[in-house]
Amino acid sequence: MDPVTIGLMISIIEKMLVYGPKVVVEISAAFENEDPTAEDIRNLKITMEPEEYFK
Amino acid sequence: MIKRYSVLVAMITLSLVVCLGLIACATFTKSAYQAGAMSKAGFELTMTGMGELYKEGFIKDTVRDETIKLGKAYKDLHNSAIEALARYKEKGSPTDKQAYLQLASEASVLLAKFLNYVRPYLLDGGKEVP
Repeated sequence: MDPVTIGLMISIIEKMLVYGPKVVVEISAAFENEDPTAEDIRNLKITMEPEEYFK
Repeated sequence: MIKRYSVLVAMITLSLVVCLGLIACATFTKSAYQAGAMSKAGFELTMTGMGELYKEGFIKDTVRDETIKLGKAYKDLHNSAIEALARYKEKGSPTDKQAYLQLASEASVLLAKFLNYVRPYLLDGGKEVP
């Protein structure tokens, strides 16, 4: 395995450690919500513009 | 007596129909809410991954532009579907439910297209895919 690929794998694992728990918490909260209100539903809207992820 | 009995049966039947309707509405809304949460999380995580790959120089501008284009289209459909679901939760209108189902169906097709596009880049660490 070349160093670039190893570096990339470490970077991806690093990111997953940051974002993974956040996603798990969000999904768990959604599944524990027995009766979502209209406001809860509206909170599922995607607010961040796609281009912002690349800045 | 028979008339009173009929009214009672009609009232019980009506109550059951209303209860079943409310249960069906709650189950439908809950399932749709969970599906929406999963889709949003999957989309945001994927966009984060693509953004990181771009910042680290693993994907080109053309791939970024296409990802943004597909991402915007999905975001709009997803948000429209969510709004229709929220309206259905508020008012219980079958029109909003139908609108949600239509929009969610279109959004799921677009999400599949989006994920199919970005998958090779995420799996191969941004190496150019033919």
